[in-house]
Amino acid sequence: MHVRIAGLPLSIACDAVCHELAVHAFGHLRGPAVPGATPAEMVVGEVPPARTGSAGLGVYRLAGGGVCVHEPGRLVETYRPATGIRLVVDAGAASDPELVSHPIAAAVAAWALDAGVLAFHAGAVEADGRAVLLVGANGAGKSTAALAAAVTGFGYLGDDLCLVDPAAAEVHSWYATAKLLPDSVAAIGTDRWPRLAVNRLGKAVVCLQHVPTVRLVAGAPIAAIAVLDRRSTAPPGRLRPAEAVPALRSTAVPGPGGMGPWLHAVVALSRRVPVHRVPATWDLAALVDTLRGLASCEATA
Amino acid sequence: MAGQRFTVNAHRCTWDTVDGETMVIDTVSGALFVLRGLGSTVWEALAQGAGDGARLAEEAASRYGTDAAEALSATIGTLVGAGLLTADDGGADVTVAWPGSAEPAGVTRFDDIADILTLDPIHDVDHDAGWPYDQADDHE
Repeated sequence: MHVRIAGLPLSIACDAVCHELAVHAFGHLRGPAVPGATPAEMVVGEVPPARTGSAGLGVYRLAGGGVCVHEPGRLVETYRPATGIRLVVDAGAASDPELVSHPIAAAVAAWALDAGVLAFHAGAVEADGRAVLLVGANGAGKSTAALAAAVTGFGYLGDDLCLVDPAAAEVHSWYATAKLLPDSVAAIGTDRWPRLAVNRLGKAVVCLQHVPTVRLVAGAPIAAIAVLDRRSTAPPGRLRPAEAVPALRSTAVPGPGGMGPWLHAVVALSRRVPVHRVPATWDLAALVDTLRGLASCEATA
Repeated sequence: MAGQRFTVNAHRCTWDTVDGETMVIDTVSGALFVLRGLGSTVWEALAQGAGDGARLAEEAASRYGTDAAEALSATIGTLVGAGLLTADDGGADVTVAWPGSAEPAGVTRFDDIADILTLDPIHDVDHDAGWPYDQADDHE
């Protein structure tokens, strides 16, 4: 299976179980084979348990570059610049909702970072070729806002993780999956969408490639950033760049590059793209109208 | 702080300035510090060399008054306490680009990014000798 994630070619080889994982996650980014594409392998296999004296569960930065995630007895995920991406997952962990929704996340994040593209904890939607990045801590309403917009004609780029090219001020789709709590499922009317899994928080994992009314988009320039705030009842307001950077701190994703690339990315974005605080209301029609207005914002050079 | 000279602990932090405010990430604790007003001005100067904390406060007092000097001293004290400014006894004093008028120094600390890093630690490991690669590589 050949995909382009943030425009970067990845050639994924899988066994049957992991092929299903890969198709659900990345099927919307499929493209032709590209010479020189980074190889990735996803297979079910035996995963070593924790070893006495080891650090155990964690994300490890490799001395020679790259990253490894090890969940003892469950999975080992690596990215090495010289050899590419590899996932070995225990058969019993292959249906884990977090893996189903976001497979090889740390490895892809490290791989993309080598090309100057950063993983952001954020959702994103698109209208008329212009994207709005949806920012907020867990529970702020990123998924609800993204899906509410997607069912009313916006293009869908992601609900929880996206890839951002700060130099170009572009956001790229990463996963075709979304995770929704029951209240959001009821509010948006997605109860008939096919579910891949349900996580420990009761969030249903859905694959949006199976939803004909949702339009998946690979990438778009960022017209505006919406910082979703459940506590705010004030009307939407634009933040100064210096206010925007702290407001974007929930976008930080742990990675092998440390926090420096993230800081410089959000500073660059805050200079170039308007950042607005948006009340995360259950009045989804009003919320979508706000997002539509933000999508028409003009970025500064 | 009297007579003590400080400089930015560049090995410990990364920073960027936008809109007259400096965002500093402490790579050890993971905290984000936002420096405002003269705090940002003095940080940018100390990133170029070293300065005497008391003399900087005296100069701020002569230019902007005692409240500004106290706010600057408090901000420098916070940054020294956090390990982001470190003692430096060598070299000449930096030149500060004091503005004509200035917002008092201030610093706000955000620790929730630190929580992210704490939840998902990243460790340097030796690819050849270190966990978990010796076992993980058995499968490759």
